[in-house]
Amino acid sequence: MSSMNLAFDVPPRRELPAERRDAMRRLLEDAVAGRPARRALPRPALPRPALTRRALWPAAGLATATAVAAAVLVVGDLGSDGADTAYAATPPVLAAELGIGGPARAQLQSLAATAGAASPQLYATAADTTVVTESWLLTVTETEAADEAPPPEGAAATLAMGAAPTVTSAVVPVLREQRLLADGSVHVRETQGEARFPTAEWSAADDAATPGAVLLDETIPAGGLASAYPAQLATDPAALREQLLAAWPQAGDPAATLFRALHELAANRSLDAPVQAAALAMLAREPGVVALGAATDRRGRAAVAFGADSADSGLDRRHVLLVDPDSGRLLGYEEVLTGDPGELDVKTPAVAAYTVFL
Amino acid sequence: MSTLPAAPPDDQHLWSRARRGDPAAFGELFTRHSTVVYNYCFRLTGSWKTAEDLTSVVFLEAWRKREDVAAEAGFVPWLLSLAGRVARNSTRAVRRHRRLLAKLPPAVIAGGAADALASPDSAHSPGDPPATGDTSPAEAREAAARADDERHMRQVLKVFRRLPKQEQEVLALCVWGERTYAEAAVALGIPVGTVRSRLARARAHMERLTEAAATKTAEPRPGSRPEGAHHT
Repeated sequence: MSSMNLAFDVPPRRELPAERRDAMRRLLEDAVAGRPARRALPRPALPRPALTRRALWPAAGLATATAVAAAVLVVGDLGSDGADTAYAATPPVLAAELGIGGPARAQLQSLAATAGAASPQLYATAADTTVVTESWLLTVTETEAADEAPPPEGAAATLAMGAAPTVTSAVVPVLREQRLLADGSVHVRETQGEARFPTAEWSAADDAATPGAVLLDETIPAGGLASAYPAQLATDPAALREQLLAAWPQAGDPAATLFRALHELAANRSLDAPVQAAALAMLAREPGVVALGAATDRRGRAAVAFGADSADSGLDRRHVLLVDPDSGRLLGYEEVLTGDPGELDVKTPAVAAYTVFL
Repeated sequence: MSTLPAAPPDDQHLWSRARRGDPAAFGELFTRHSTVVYNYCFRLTGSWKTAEDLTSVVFLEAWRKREDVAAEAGFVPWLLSLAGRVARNSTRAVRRHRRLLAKLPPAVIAGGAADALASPDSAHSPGDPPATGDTSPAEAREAAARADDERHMRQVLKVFRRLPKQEQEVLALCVWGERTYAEAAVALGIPVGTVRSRLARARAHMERLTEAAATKTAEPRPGSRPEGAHHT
């Protein structure tokens, strides 16, 4: 073959470092010994997600890459009787999030008007290129799930492969800064937040990352972070609704889906005042959106909370948007598991995910 | 009169035992094929350290997918197809097995591309000189050679990743994984003829891209050594 073909000009083989190879073999043998194949594996009763987006953020993997650093829910060894399972650490549920809720229309309309009339300084503009968030996600991987299927958003379970039902974790948020550069590329930097709300089993050994540790620092070429949503978002509420739902063709609960869509948008691009006003007006018209009252967000900011319940993902879940009462700006998004968590070892109600828009 | 030593059990026999929960059989399969998987992962990622991590993950995935009948058609091709998937979705795969991987001792390769798990193209500088504090001259030479490998492989991958995904799969399995057409066909679930045609296209495509890249590169890499697959 021609030497002008790089595919045939690769470095020679090398051996695994012996110490590492031996350790790997021991690890694998332990994994096999801990759960022999002959035993019937009880399938976790983790419901499958019922909906998927039409298109995903291609770089979502980058974002979720660092979900490793977020809390990991450990369900006990599949071969065990469950007595030795541990509960995952989750952030405290905000006071307003579990309210029965009341009509939201008037309040959302008022906030939409506030947003529409807000001082430009309170909002992003088209020139703003940086989005900063703090987020946390209850990370779950369903071991027996179809390989290519994404885990249920916001919750999944890591099923320990080995014999030992290992430890739970603490809530470790990720700080993310996403900056649009002049050439159309996007620079993403994620750092480890401070571990919080440790469970009794939390140990230093479990703390794989140091606060401030850089988890991701990468520039994605122009076009590499394509969005599932149009570049030009409508400022008409009905048109915006159509744009957002188009990305979720299988959605069964439009209100909750709109919450999710707004979360995705706000976590990945700056939303200017007209779009946020349209979003609030859109939610004001949406059946299923309830007002949950005043709240304080995870950064101590005053907020008003709105909720939408859904079981689209397979678990009863409340989606919450936190809005700045003074400007109508989105401050945060949260998901709270409210019903039977199935095989997930969390005590409901439990926060499954949150994002603070900074 | 001497007796002939017993032939070592073949892969399928070991795999059958492993699937029934025999740790030693699985361990033997690992010992037998870890080098192939390790080098394959390196060629897909351009990082020895990432390849170390992914080698563990590939075997953990093999155990997780032990009911997959494709393994019975050819264990190594199946392993390499798993490796390809793991390399493409490394963050998810590593996350899935994070707890177990944490039990391994730290990677021992200096100068490895630690952040290449998130993206093999990330801004790591594999050519950074290895730590020299307590390293012997032999270790330093090994580290330097591996760093050189990484620099070289990343140049290759820059071109390789411009191929269509289907061509990448075939080229990787047949050339870098040193699988036959038939084995690649089984691993990818496509006819042998399709493997041949895709590989031919991939070679031509790669050659054009190589030439294009060469025109942009002022410094050809000295001492490169062709290493290709032997196909039947």
